[in-house]
Amino acid sequence: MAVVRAKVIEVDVKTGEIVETEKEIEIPDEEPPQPQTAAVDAETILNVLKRKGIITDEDIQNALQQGDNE
Amino acid sequence: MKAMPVVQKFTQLSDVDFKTYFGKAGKYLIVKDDESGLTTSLVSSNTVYPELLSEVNVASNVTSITFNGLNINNDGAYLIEVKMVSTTAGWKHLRMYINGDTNESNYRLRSINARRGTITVENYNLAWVLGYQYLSHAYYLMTRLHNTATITRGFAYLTNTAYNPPHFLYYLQNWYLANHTNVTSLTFTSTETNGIRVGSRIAIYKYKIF
Repeated sequence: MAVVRAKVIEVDVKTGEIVETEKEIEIPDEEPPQPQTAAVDAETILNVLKRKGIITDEDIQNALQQGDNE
Repeated sequence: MKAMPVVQKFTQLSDVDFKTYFGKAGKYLIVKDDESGLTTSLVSSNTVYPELLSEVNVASNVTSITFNGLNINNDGAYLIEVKMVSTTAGWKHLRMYINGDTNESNYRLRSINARRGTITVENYNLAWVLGYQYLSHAYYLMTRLHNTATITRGFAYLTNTAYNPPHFLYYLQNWYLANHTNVTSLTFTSTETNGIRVGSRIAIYKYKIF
């Protein structure tokens, strides 16, 4: 984290007021930290997501195709 | 004996505030949460339908956008749409902080991502929600923030999907673990100063869910 002076927008959801201002804020690190726990087997997670109806085999194939199309 | 005035219109009822209904054509009438009267809504009581709470269309580059005045205990759940415009090359990352908490150790992130035909599983202590990289590209995110504090610790949000066609696709499950009982603000911060560029948009909808 680094503290910098930067432009920010603050919105009050209740009143709808949108204010653009400049203040000191914390900027997160650019690079994500390394995983802190062991990676979970991909097939296990995909099976859970498919069972819950969140993704389908077609979703996975589309994702693979996106990579192949690059 | 004094005759009671004849009420011929709904808005002539003594407990009806005409201003409440002015300009609300096409909306439903529902009982207020405190049962003190009626108010208008986009949805009937048994319909799940997102109602726009607030949106920001970025007109000049900023580093952070904060939505204050939220109340997930009243609102049920939040549907969050993000469009990030990248006008510089190189990776920038967007974090979503709950209640102003920038301590990344309070967040968990599990992702399944597909890039260049390879599916990868990742697991971080991180408030990360979206990465954006290429010049003149737009990156999209839609996530649902659920109030899980009543049944377990923290707040869970499920993202389907964060993507930049055709380069990558992410499915995310995030979890905010700090001991809070409500979500009152959401802050979106870029890792790049002024990295939330002109043309970007963040919108928050509320919708009731189980």
